[in-house]
Parts: sequence; structure tokens; C-alpha cells
Amino acid sequence: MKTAKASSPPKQSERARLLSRLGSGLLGVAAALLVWKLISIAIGSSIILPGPGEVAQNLGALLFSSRLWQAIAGTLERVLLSFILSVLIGAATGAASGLHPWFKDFLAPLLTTIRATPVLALILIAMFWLPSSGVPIFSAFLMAYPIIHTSTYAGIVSIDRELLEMADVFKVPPSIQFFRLKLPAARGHFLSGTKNALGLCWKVVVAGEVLSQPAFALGTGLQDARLSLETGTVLAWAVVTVFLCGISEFLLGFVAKRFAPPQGGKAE
Amino acid sequence: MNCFELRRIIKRFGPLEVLAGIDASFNSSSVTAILGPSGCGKTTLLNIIAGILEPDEGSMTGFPSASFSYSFQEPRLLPWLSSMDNLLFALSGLNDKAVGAERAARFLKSAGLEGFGDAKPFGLSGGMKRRLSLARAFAYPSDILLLDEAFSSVDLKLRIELMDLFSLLWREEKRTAIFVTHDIHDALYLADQILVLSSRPSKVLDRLDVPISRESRRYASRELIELEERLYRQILS
Repeated sequence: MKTAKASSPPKQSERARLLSRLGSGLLGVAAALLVWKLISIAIGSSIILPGPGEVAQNLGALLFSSRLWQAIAGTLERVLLSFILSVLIGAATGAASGLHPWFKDFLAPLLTTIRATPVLALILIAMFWLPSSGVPIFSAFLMAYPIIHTSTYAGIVSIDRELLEMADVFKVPPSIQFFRLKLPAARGHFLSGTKNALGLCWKVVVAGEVLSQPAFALGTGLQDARLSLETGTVLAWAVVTVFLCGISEFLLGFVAKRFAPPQGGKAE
Repeated sequence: MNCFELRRIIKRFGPLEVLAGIDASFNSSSVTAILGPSGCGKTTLLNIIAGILEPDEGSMTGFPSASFSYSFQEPRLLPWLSSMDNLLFALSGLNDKAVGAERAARFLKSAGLEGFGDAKPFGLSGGMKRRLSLARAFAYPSDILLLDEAFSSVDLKLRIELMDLFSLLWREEKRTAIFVTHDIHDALYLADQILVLSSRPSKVLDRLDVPISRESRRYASRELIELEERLYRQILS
């Protein structure tokens, strides 16, 4: 009984802290909605800025249309494809750069060029080369790839030197050092990079869709609503995009937390 | 009987001379303590013996062809591997995997960690991690075992427990062991031979044999008071 009594106050304070955080978050949302509503009333034009109620109505209508779900499926497919491509290629080149400095120098000009190129320029160039559904995938891949590459490289080069020295003293074969020491140690940096890259994939894919107009896409929905001057519907599409991006980042963050190396990968 | 020798080993880091001509010999299957003040280059000497560092001058006999295992001042365990997998990782260079698995299981048991084979390092106490690190060094079938302050930074009770574990594991599989320490009592408790290094740039100030068998020694025993006084004089000089 004594133990139960002793452990209950920390549990209660944990719950209270969570409730307090939730309450503060909800209060923040309510404040933002209120400010939005006040500004929309002040402007007085639903074409320039519709109020939250009107956007909610448009969102409700969208949710019951098959177009939204087809668009979600199309965009999700493009986001996943670009993300998986950037993870596979970025992890491979990042690991190779971490293991072989000459390869890092070899890739440096290409990566600098990609990083310096504006997203819009990439999308416009891709529109000359690729079909409409391929443009967002290509653009998002080029934006997300350097992030995965850099985070994997950072993970490899920041491996605890003491662990590497220990492995060398015990003459652990290079392949086993790579798979059992270097890769797990780099996992923390890599997972944090994938989370950033996924968010970027969503943003760039939707931006690419707005310009390239594939048949089923959130970006196409956004652009069509904009051309019809339906600002409320534009915002409703945007809310769906933000929600999906947030959910996927949350899920990946959950996975990342679960698989992150203990103690940040440092020697025990 | 002298299997391993160092002759006139000199090591500099830029303008800083750390080792100024170390001469020493190590009998096979003996335990040698390298005793000296902090910063005198004990770890540098150990790293030269292990081949991690190259000496600037001098020669070594026996060491270049030997295999080494190392117990570091910190346990240096992979946090994502279990205790058993940490041992198997160190043994993964062996050609016969079955021998590696047998040795890992045997030394895990000898170190009193039999029930903790699946435990990850963060689930072990500080003392258990040190024991695991010692077990790993012994499980690796090396010619020479090097210990860099492997018994320091812990309380006296745990330090004696770790040194007793070392003696137990060493009796199970005797091999040439060289350990560095700045503690005179640790050196007198474990070593057959003690080499005293001077302050930097260091040389061997003294070399003495401990005449009592390791099994019958007690920590900080009065029986070794003469040797203890001699070592204190050397260190403080």
C-alpha cells in the first residue's frame, strides 16, 4: 500500500501536465480561429478570406465527394514514391560518403547545385521532361534526397570514436563493423532526417501537382478551386493536405522514437 | 622467458615529448602493472604496445606479431546489443563461430552475468558493465591482455571486486596481461611485476617484482609495506 501511495503523486502530476498541455494547445487553436474570424469579418469578402465556418462547410462537402479520396490516393502514392526513392538513394550515397571521403568530394558539386536550385525552377524544368504525374515525384525526390544523404552522412561520421577503436582492437571484420556498429549508430541522425524529408515531400509534391495538374491530386484540387475563385474550397484542400502531412510525420516520428539507438548511439 | 620487449621507445606529440626512451620486458603469462602519475604517458605506452599508435623511435620484440584484447577505462559497450551480443561482436573475427559462442557463454558465466545475456547495457549497473567489459577482454583469445585504468573511477568495494574478477578470469585462462594504473595498492594487489614511470617525459624509474603469490595477497596488506614505501618514494620523487 505504501508503495502505491508513494507512486501515485508523480502519475497524477504527469496526467495534470498532459491535460495542461492539451488545454493550452486547444486554447491556442481557439485563439487562432477567433483571430481568423475577426480578420475575415473586417475584410468582408469571402473571396479574399472566408471565415472558419465557411471553410468547414466546404471541407464537409469535400469529404463526401469521391474526388477528394481519389486525390488523396494519387498524392499519397506520389509522396510515398518520392520519399522511398530519396531514402534508398540518399542512405546509400550518404553512407558511402561517410565511409569514403573521396566519394563525399565527388558528390559535393551535385549536392550543392541541387540544394541551391529553387523548388519552382525544378518543377518547371521537370515539366519539360516528364509526364504530369511524374513531375511532383521527381521534384520532391530532388528536394528530399539531399536531406537524407546529409543526415546519413552525419550519422556515419559522428559515430563514437571509442567504439570504432574498440572494434579495431578486437579485429572485428569491416562488414560486421558496418552492419552491427556503424549503421545502428547512424540510425538516430538518419531517422531524424527521414522525418524532415517526409514533410518536405508532402509540400513539394503538392506544389508540383498545382503546376503539372495530374488527374488525381490534392494540388490539382487546389488549383481548380483557385481558378474558380472558391477561396473556401482552396483552404479546405489546404486543411486536408496539412492534416495528412501532420499525420504521416507523427507516425514516422513514432517509428523513429521506437527505433532510435539507445543513449543516442554513444558507448555505454 | 622474456617473450615481449620494448627498447628505447620514444613518442612525441608535436613538440611535446611524452615517452623518453622506455625499456621494459614482459614475461609470458605474467601480470605487469605500469604505475605512474597522471599524464605521464601510460595510456600512450599501452596504445603503442597494442599497435594503435606508432612509436617515433625504438623497437619492440614479440608485440607486432601478437594479438591483443583491451579493457578500457570506460566499458565501451554497444548500447543496442545485448550483453551476449557485445561479447559475440568482439569475437566475430574468429574463424570458428562455434568457438566464439562457447567462449562468450563461458566468460559471461565466469563474470557472474549468466542471467543477463539478453540484457542491454543500459539495463546493467555500472559494476556489471565493467564486469562485462572484462569478460569481453578475456573471451577474446588474445596473446596479450591490455587494461587501461580498468579498475579506476569506481568505489573501493567495486574496485576490489573487479580486481578479484580479473584474478579469477586470469586463472581460468592465463595470459600476458599489462595494466596501467596510478594506484599503488591496485598494482601491489594484482601484478607480478611493477614498472614505475616518471613524470613526463617519462622513463622507467624502477622495476620490481612482487614476491607473494597473487592468491595469498590481501588488498593494502601490511605484508607488502616495504614495496609500498619504495613505490611511494619513487612516485613522489
